[in-house]
Amino acid sequence: MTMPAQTDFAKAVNVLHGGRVDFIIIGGVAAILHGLGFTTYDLDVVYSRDRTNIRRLVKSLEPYHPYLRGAPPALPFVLDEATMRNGLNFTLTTAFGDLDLLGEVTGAGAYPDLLPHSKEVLAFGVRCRRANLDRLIQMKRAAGRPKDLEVMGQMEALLEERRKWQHTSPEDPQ
Amino acid sequence: MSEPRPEIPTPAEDLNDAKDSLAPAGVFDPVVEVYKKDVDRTILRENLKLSPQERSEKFVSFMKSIWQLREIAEREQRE
Repeated sequence: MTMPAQTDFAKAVNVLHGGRVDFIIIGGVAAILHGLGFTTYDLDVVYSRDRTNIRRLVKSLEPYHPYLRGAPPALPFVLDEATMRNGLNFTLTTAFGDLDLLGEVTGAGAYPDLLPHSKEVLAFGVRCRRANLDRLIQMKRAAGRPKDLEVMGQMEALLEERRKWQHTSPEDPQ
Repeated sequence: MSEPRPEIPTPAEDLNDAKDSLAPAGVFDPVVEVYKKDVDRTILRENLKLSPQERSEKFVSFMKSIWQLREIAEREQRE
C-alpha cells in the first residue's frame, strides 16, 4: 500500500497566513482542532474567490511548486491566477505536502457562506479560521460518502461531549 | 404572447438552497449511531481540556511519530 506524502501542516497554515490569504480550515484538520483524535494526511481549506485573495494565494504557494496531486509528471500545469479563476477546487501536492484548495464545498458553499460558521483560533502558532463543528458534520453528511460514517460518529460524539462540557463549564472549549 | 421564462437558479443559488435544507448536525441517523457507540470518549474529553493550539501541537507530534514508524518499517523491509 502506498502511503501519502508527509505533510508539514504547521508550514502549510503558516504559508497561507503569511501570505495574508483568506481561508477556512475544514476537513480532518478542522475536526482535530475541535478535539477529535485521529490521523489525516492533507490540509483542506475553503478559500475566498476574491480576485485579491486569489493573487495572494498564487503568490504565497508559488515557491512551493504546487502541482496537481496524482497527475502524471510534466503536465503543463501552472497554478497561476488564470488557472485559479478558471477552476474551482484543486487537490495539490506542494513542497510542504498535500493541500486541497476548495472554492465551494457541498454542505458549506463558498467562503462567504462558510465565514459566519467559522471561528478564528490560535493554532499552528498563528491566528487562523476553522469551520464550526456543526458545519463540519453537515458537510460530511452532505458528501454522503460511506467512508465518512465512522468520522461522523466521532464528530457527533464530540458534539455531545462538548455540550456536556458547556453545561458544566461556562467556558467555551473552542 | 409567450409566458415569461422562469428564472433559472445559478449553481451558487442551488447550493444555497441545498444548504438550507441540510439536516442539522445532531440529527438522529441510525447508521452513525452504530459508529458513535464505539467511540472512545475519554480521548475526546481529554482533548476538550486543551486549547486549539495545544491540539495542533499534539497532532503535529502524533503525525511525526507515524512518519518515523513508517520510515523504520520501510528500512526494515529493505534490509
